[in-house]
This record gives sequence, C-alpha cells and structure tokens, in this order.
Amino acid sequence: MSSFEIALLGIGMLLVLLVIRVPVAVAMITVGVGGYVSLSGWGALLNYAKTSVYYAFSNYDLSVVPMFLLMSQFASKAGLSRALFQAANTFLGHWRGGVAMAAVGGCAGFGAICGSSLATAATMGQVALPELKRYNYSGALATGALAAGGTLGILIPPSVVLVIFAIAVEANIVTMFQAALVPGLLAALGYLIAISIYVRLKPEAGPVGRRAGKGERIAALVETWPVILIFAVVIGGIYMGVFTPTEGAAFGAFGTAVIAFWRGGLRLDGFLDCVKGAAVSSGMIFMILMGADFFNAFLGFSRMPLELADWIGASGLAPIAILMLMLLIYLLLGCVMDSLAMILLTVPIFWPVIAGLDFGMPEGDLKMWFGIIVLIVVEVGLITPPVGLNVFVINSMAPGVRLKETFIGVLPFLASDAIRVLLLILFPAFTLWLPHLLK
Amino acid sequence: MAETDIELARPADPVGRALLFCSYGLAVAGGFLMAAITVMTVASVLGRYLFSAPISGDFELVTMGTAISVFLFLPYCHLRRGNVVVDLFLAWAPRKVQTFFDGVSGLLLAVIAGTLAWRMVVGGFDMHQYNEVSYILALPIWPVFPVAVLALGLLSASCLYTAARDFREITR
Repeated sequence: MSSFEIALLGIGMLLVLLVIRVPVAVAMITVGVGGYVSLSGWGALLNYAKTSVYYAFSNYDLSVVPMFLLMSQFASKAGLSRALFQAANTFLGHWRGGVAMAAVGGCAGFGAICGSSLATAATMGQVALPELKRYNYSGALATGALAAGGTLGILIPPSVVLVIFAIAVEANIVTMFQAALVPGLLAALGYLIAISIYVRLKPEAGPVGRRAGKGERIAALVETWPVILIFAVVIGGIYMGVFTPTEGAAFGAFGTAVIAFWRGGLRLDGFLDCVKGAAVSSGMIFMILMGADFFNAFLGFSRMPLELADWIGASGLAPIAILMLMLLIYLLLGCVMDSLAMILLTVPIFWPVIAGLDFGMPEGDLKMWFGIIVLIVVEVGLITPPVGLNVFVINSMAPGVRLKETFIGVLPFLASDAIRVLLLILFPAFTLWLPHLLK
Repeated sequence: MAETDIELARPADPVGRALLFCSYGLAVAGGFLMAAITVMTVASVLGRYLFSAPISGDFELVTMGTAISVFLFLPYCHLRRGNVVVDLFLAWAPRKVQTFFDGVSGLLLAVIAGTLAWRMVVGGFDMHQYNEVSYILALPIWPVFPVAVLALGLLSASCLYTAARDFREITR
C-alpha cells in the first residue's frame, strides 16, 4: 500500500471514529499514531512521543490562547454587557427592529473584548433577551439576532479560532487580526441590514423602541469606556506593534479582571469560576492541538497533502471552483463539528492545495484572505442545524421560544453571511486593505 | 467554538471523589500559574516602556509556564466532559450504545495518556541528561516533564475511572 493510500485510509478511519462519538482529539491521536507506526515503525513513534507534546505546548504564539480565554471569562463577569446594550439601544432603539439591532450592536462591542462566540451570545443574551421581550419582539427575531450576533465574538478580533488558524498555516497573528477587523465590522453591518429587511417584511416582529435624547446617548456611550479602553489598548497595541499578541492578551486579561473586580462585583469564588472555565476550554483546545500534532506528523510523513496539491494543481480545475468545494465541505462539517477542531483537521490538507493554486496574490495575502473566509464559514456551523451551539444556548435562555423558531429566526442572518462570503471572495480588498495600510 | 461544559454529577464513590479533587487541585494550580504569567507579562511590558527594564527572558517564562499550566488543565477537563465530540450520528441511538462508545473512548484515551506519561518520563530523563536549558535564562527544561507526567498519569486514571463507570452503567 502506498503512503498516499495509507493516508486516505487514515482519514477514513478518523471519520469512523468521529461517528462513534470518540472525542476529536482522541480520534486524531489514535489515527495519527496508527499511521505514524505503519509508515515509520514503533521505534520512531516512541522516540517522537518523548518530547513532541512538550514542544507542541511550549509555543509562544499558543500562549495567547489561554490568556484570551481568561480574558473572555473575566469580560463576561465585568458587567459590561448591559452598558454596551444600553449604548447601542440609545442610538438604534427608535428604529423599526431597533432593539434587536441594539442586541447585535452590543454583541459586536462585546466581541471586541471577547474571543469566544458562545460567551458573547450567552453574556449579551442575559441582558438583551428580557428587553426584547419587554418590547414585544417575536421570539424568532430576538433569539435569532442574538445567536447570530454571538458569532461576532469570533469574527471581530481578538479571536481564538483565528489564532489557531494562523498557527496552522504559519501566518503572522498580527496581520491576521488586522485582516479580521473590516470583515468583522462588515458582518455587524450585514446583520443590521438583515434585521431592517426582516422587519420591513414582518413589521409586527420588531416594534419601534424608545427614542433617546442626545444627552442620554452621550451618557450611555461614556458608560462603555472600559470596553473602548481595553479594545484600544489590546487590539490597538497589537496592530501598531507596541506588543506581541501574547502581551496584548495579558493586558486584556488583566484589564478585564480589574474591571470585573471593580464594577462587576467579582470576588474570590467568581475568580475561581473564571479560572475553572478558562481551564476547561484551554484543556479542550490543547487536547485537540495534541491530536493535531500526531495527526499532522502522520500526514506529513505520508506526503499526501503535497501530492494532493500537485494533483489538483495539475487537474486544470478553476481555483475558484476548488475554493467553493472546500467551503462546501466546511459547511457540511460545520453541521456536526466544532470550528476549532474542523480547522485543525482540514487546514493541513486544504492549505497546501490553496497555496499551490493561482489566485493572483502573494502567499501572505492568500493566507489572510483564505483564513478570514474560512473563519466565517466555520462560524456558520454555530447557527445551523442540527448542532448549532449558539442557537441552543440562546434558546435555552428564552423560555417559551421553540427551538424551531430560533432556527427560523437565524435564516436572515445566514443569508447575510452568504452575501458577505461572496463579497469577500470577489473583493479581497475588504480583507487586505487594513493589513496593507498598517504594514 | 464549543465550550461544552456539562457539570459532572458529584461522584458518590470515594475513588471518583478523590480523582475529581486531585484534578480540580491541579487545574486551579494551573489557573493561578496562568494568572501569575499574565501579571508577569503586564509587568514586563510596563517595565519595558516606562523604565526600559523588561523582565529578562519573560518570553521563556511565558512559554514554559503555559506548557505547565495546560498540562495541569487536562485531567479536570476530561472529568468535566470538556472533550469535543461529534454528536450527531449517535444522538438518536439508545443511551446504552452512546455510553458504550463513551467507555471505549475513555479506554483509548487512558492508553494514550498512560503511554505518553511513560514516554515523557524517558523524555524528561533525556532532557536532564543532555542538560537542555532555555536560551536566555538557561532554565533547565526537565522540570516541566515531572509535572506533565503527573498530569497525564492523573488523566489516564480519570479515563479508566469514567470508562469503568460507563461500562458498569450498561450492565446495570
């Protein structure tokens, strides 16, 4: 059996293991180990395993992950979500569907200090859902807006998933974060437009809220200063090269912790909860990284990704068709799989293929363009059936709204996502403008 | 991303309680280490810009500290069922089938973590023998390994425990 065939067999077995509910990390290690042994023997594997996990974990770029997770935990306890929602509401509330728009705006603001989608959805949901109910918004629009708005947590930097993508393709995390900003803002804008079209078709779903005066608006905006300050320091500092992403994340975690103690009433037991939460999410991510380390060692040995890239490059298929095929695979995988696991599993195979095709841009730009598109497409998995985690979380917080209603409520936002992905594919400038400007 | 965070019912038996207690202890220790690294990094950056006096080798401390704390997180993460599974195809299968495969996965991870612990014992001795140190501070690397072995050992034991519990649940 050629090594190419062994690699294909390995991928097949991996899928079988995933189907029988073996955790992604365990399945990747098992197949990685099996493939490694069949290609280079037990001795090599046992030797590799002596230090490989240490080296996989002691990577300076990766240390940004636990810190951003800690930051997300503190941010959700800092009591900032109410201020963000109120501020957005004073500006948008008097429009038709305005309170739902304010929920999306709040999510965008929260996403600027939080790198996690579920945390963003859940934190904003606590504040915004009761308000949406008070203004008689339909359950579908209220929960749909928040479930979709939650994905802004990952699209707007900082973003843990983007860090993992950057490490997987050996891209610069700083330029990746720069590339994410405009598409992230575009996402927020697209969601606002989706709401305004939706309420035009169904006016009863999103009644007009209260109009706020100018003074009230300014006062509400001032209340959000900790968010603005933390975002400016962390993301601004990373963009301008004042410090590394890890140092920025440290400032972010420290800053949100201070705010959480000072304004959010965080005490020792709350602090322990934050630490526990960050520990569980970090453990989960690093388990998958450990799996990816073994799985990629196996794939690398088999040379399958390179041969596949050569083969596809020589096949004469249009690059854009191959890109579309990959995005379709992400959409399908996203229905059943976690976004991070999906990226670590597919990027070692997909990236060499993309890098080998001619999209008319240098490799550095290609990494950003492809990365941001993949980021959006894998995030769609969080709001599509059957396992849209954001949908489940928001739905469980809204008693009396059926799950089906939330999935229907998400549809306008999915349409907005689809349009945005097409725009970003057709106009790479959306993604590349800011990194080129700051270079 | 999936912060699957389902609270493990407090185990009634002493073995389960002891495992959860130890894992929790390690995770909290790792969390405090992480917090300490965070504060150290902030101090180093402030020192660099305000007093032109960064903490030398902060980069290495962050890297090694992160590795240690992440190893310490692993057992607790498993006991809290934090591992990501693809939950679709078996979602409609009888509960016993799901539990059976959970048990199988637990056994698999127990073997993997146990083997890794064994290999990292050897790796740690190698690091010690060849006197591997970090670039700037010349910190020895080997002390990370006993911590990793401890955490992986506890992870392996926890996996055996959850696997045994899963299999017992089926036969009941």
